Amino acid sequence: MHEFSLATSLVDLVLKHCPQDEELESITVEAGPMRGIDPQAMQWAWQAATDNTAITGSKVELIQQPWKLHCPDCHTDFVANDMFTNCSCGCQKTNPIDSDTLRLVRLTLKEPATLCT
Amino acid sequence: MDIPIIENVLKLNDEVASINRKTLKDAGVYTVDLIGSPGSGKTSLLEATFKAIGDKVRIGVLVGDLTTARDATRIAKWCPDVVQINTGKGCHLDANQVRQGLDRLKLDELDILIIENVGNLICPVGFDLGQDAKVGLFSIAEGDDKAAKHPYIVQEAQILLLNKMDLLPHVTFDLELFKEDVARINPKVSLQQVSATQGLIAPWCDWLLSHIAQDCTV
Repeated sequence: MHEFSLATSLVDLVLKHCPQDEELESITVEAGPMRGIDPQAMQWAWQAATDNTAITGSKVELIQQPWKLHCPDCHTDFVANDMFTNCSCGCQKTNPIDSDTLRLVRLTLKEPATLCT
Repeated sequence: MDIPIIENVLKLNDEVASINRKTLKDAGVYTVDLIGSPGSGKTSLLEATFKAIGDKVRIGVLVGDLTTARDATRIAKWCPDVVQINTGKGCHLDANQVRQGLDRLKLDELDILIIENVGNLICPVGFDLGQDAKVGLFSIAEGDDKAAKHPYIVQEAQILLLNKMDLLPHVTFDLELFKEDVARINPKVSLQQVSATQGLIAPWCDWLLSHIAQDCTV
C-alpha cells in the first residue's frame, strides 16, 4: 500500500517528463531510510501503477540511502546503516537528520529509440 | 539515453497542499493532521477534545477512513462541522482529498480544523495536506517499540501524544525506553501523556488552545 501510493504519484511525474516518442526503460528514485521503502514491493507497485499507461513495462531502480546521523556532543554528521548508531566519540544520543529524501532523479530511455506505446 | 531530473516524488501533492495551506491561513483556521495507528484512539481523542474545549472554540473535523462513516457519526454528536472522506483503497489522505473536504466546510466559522487521517503510522506521514502541524498519536497498548519502529512520524510531528495511560498498570510498557527513543529521534518534539476515554487530555487541549491564542495576537 505504502509503495503503491508512491508509485501512483511517480506515474504522474514520469508521464510529465517522458518524451512521447520514446520508450521508457527505467526510472531511478533516491529514497532515504525514513521512507521505509521495500525495493521488491516498489517494483510490484510500479508494475501495477503503470499498467495501461504509456510507460508500462518500465522498471524502478531504487537507490536506498543510508541513515544520516548528527552527534549533539561533537557536532559531526555521519552515515550509518542503523538509525540507533552511536557516534565514534562515544555519544549515545545521535539524531537522524536529512534521511527522508524521496526524489525522482533519472529517466532511462530504451535505445534505439522506438515509439512509446 | 538518460534524462536527469531532480524532482520531489510528491511534488504534485505538495502543490495542492500549498493551496490548502493558503486557504486555511486566509480563513484563520489552525489545522492539525492527526496521525496514529488503527485503535490508538484518534476518534476518542476528538470526542474528549469536544467535551473539554468544544464550548470555547469552534472545531471542524475531516475524517479519513478506507470505508464506513462510523467515525464521522461518532463525532457528529459533538460537532456539526464534520466531513467524512472515504479513501477506498488508499491508506492515507492526500492533499487533493482534503481540498475537496475543505469545500464542504464553512472555514470562516472555524478556529481549528483537525484532520483525522486514516489509521496508519507510515504512509500518511509523507503526504503534506496543508496542515500547520502534524500530531502523532501512540498508545500504551501498542507496545513501547512503536516510536523506534516508526521514526518518520516521531521526526515530523510537533507534538506526540501517548494515549491510554490508564492502561499502564495492566500492560508491559517501558515508558522510559519509549521516552528515550522519542528523544533520540526528535529531541525537539513535545511528548505528552493522555488518556482520552478518561478525559485526561489537558496537555493536548492546552497545546491546541495556545496556537489559537498565537493566531489571535498576530
